[in-house]
Amino acid sequence: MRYSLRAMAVSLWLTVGTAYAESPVQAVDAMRHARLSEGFEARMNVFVIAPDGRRAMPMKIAVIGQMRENRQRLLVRGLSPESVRDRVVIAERNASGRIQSYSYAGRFDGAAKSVDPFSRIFGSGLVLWDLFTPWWDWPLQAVVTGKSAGDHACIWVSSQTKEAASATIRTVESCVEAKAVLAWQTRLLNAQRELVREIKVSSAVRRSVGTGLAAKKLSIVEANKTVTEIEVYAGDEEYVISPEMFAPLEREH
Amino acid sequence: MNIFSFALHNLLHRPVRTVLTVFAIALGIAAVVALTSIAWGFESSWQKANDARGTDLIVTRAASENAMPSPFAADKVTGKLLALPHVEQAVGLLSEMLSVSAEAPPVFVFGWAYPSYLWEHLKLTEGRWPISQDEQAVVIGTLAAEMLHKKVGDRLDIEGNAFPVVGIYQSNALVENGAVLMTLAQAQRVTDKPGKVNILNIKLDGRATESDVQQVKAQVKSALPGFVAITSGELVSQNAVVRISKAMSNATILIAGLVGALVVFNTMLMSVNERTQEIGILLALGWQRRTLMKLVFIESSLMTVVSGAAGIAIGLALTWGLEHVELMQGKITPVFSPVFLLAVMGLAVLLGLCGGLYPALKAARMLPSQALRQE
Repeated sequence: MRYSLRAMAVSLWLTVGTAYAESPVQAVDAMRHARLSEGFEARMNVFVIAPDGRRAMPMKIAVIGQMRENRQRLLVRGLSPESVRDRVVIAERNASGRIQSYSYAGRFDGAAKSVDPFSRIFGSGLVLWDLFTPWWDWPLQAVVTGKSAGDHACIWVSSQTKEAASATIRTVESCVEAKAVLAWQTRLLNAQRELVREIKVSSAVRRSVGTGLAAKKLSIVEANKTVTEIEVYAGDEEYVISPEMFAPLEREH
Repeated sequence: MNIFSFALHNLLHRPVRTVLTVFAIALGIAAVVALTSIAWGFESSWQKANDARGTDLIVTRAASENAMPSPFAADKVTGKLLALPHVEQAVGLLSEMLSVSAEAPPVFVFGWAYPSYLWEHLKLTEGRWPISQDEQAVVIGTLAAEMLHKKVGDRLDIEGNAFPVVGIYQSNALVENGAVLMTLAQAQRVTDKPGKVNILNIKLDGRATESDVQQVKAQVKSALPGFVAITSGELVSQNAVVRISKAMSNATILIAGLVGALVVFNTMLMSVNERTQEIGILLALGWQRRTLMKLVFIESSLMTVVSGAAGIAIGLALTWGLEHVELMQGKITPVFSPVFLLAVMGLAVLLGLCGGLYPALKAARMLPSQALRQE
């Protein structure tokens, strides 16, 4: 069974897929299944722009993942500059939806430090919790009206949870283009329905296998107006996950 | 006075209008020349890069439409390829567009199996080649050296790894001249794609004929589902960037053609309206309606032929200028062929004929009595 880029896509809101969803229910279903992958890697340039317009030094990071129905694992590794080089964040989401995440100063050197899955990765707007796209598993999914994202014919899907575990984010609104299984815009809201983050895909490319699209450029705007611009410059849809890749997770368990 | 000098005299009678019309059409033609030559140049440069390596066929993932075909595990495919008749070598290549310097735009980073025939066409101008496939070192093209301001002994930061530049090479393909080259093993390590390649280059033995090439292509299709064997030309024509640049040049031809025809139409219609009485006199003097039509067509064609020549000259100058702007250096190599330039002139003449058709018909349909009464 070929899972390939779908998972990478969903994890980064680059969501990709092949199945044409004819109804909103099918769209949510397609998004949920689209993240499955036996292995993927995406390399990206990350630019963080502070609310006052100051630009931080650009970063390069690699996101590696394996997404199965009952177990999803992610590894984010800093490539450059020196300040993030070989810094690793590793996380696992189990069947019950619980996320455990750890960070390492070097490539698994030294002691692992438990990290909050809602914390920002390497000072950017990227958040581990978002990368797992857990909202597609929430039981409450509804179609809401909303302005379409740019020129894209997408439908707004509101995903809601009442679980305390997801206290930070209670509602996620996604503008999903069913045919491409791509969320062009995603709004993450807290319990007070205040916007915490907004993710917009500005450019997408055709995936090499199938007919879907994969986002190439996206931006994350946080509540304090910090903007993170991300450009995926390389990827591997069939990344081979080595046995030692997620071994530290086993050790921490 | 013959009909040509009569037509020329008519055009020169309104010099500003004629010059403005010629200039407007020339700009459109220049855009067509510049964009088309750049699009063809881009395609030709890629093709040269593949041809220069001496590769007969390229095996890649089917439906690879992006700038770089998606990577795949080479070992699964190489064995099957080498078992096919006439296949002498199957050599892996991994490439990525990566930024290797904060000051310069991203460049192509190639990883080629080392040692292999792929390296043989390159000419080392300075330094040395990598000692082994495991040496963490790069060689760079002459153009890359210029763009990145690097020389032998300097270092490049590639995906967080410091690579010393051990040599500078020259290739007759622009794409390779602007690239950073390392061994395949190093490229796989640095991009975290162990055992993977984008492309497998197939070299056939000297006995292989054109029909053998076609047979190998068919065998690859049946033996390796999801893969395709194509010639370098086919690979280049499938490349998304090449397709986009060609589509842009075609769109420009269409728009420039439409605008050019409208400009000629407008100018000639104004000219015919202004000369109603003159046309009436010519008809009264016994001019054939056919001759009047010929006169209008000659006037419109004269304008567009001059516009075509001026447009080609401006287009050539524009591409030459772009080629030498620092930002574009090494990225474009325009290709001009005599056939293409002739076709542009043909387009110019066609514009003249299309734009002059209605005004010519209008002039030919006039009645001398009515035309002479016109104020």
